[in-house]
Amino acid sequence: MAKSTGLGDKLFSHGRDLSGDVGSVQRIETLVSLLEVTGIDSSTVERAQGISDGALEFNAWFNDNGAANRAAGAGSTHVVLSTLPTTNILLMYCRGASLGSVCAALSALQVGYGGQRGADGSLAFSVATQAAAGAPLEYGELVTAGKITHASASTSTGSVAAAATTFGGVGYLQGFSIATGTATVVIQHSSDTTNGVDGTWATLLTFANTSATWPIGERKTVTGTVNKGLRAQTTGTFTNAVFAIGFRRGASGDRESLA
Amino acid sequence: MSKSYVVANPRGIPAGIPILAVRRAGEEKQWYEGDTIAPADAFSPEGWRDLLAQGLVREVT
Repeated sequence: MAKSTGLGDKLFSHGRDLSGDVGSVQRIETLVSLLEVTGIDSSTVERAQGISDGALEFNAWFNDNGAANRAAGAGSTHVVLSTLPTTNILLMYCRGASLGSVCAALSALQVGYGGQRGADGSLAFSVATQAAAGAPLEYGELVTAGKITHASASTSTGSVAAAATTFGGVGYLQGFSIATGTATVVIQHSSDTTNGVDGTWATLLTFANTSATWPIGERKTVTGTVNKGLRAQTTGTFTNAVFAIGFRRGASGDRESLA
Repeated sequence: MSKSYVVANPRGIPAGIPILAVRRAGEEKQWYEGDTIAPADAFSPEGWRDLLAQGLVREVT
């Protein structure tokens, strides 16, 4: 087991790569409330776990990508973040951008966009998001080598875990851009792959909202057995789909059983 | 007489999306729901057993 820094990390928000504009990340937190349930026959506090929660907070440098792109928001974190989206967004903080890198995913509402102009001339905005879709911040691993491009329908080299699991899982899609057409993005799994390439592969999970206008983000659950190999596949007629996928394997102690 | 199998879709994958794929030595073949498939099509006997266990293939009588 090796210690690591946060160098080379990525932050994606609902199909937008914020990595180049985010200066720091203050909070990547999954938490649970505690309920006091002390009985009159106890001389010490008794507690039980209540509902879980999640939060992700970061500072972004001001970037409106110049007048030509302000209206469209292309490449402009300012335009995207300043609107305080009214619907849930899917955030993913990736500890590195390699296949199998740990990622933290949160389906959240953005609750703030606060700017500070420092005496040194800096201009940064603090962004706060909190869990909003009934799921806390969850840790998984990248099924793609960070942000990848499929020029047409294809598959990518996958990851291979030590063994299959039987508690379902959660897939996270960040769909950044697509040049033409419509792509369907799926996660496949395999019981007999040894290298994430060769093997018998079955479709495990199909992201449902890829026909919408990109950029998009989606969190989707799947139940039952998840084999050791996982890989990303795209189908359909399209050109240059840029996306990233993460996946969290379920475990026996999960609050939401996906077994 | 040898048994015959077709691809099943227990997870309800939408139509038009391949249910199964086998990649071997740089070549990949795909199957859709209802396609005929044989044990030899799987990458390995273990892979075939997993398909049976997960209900991804069913015997045609």
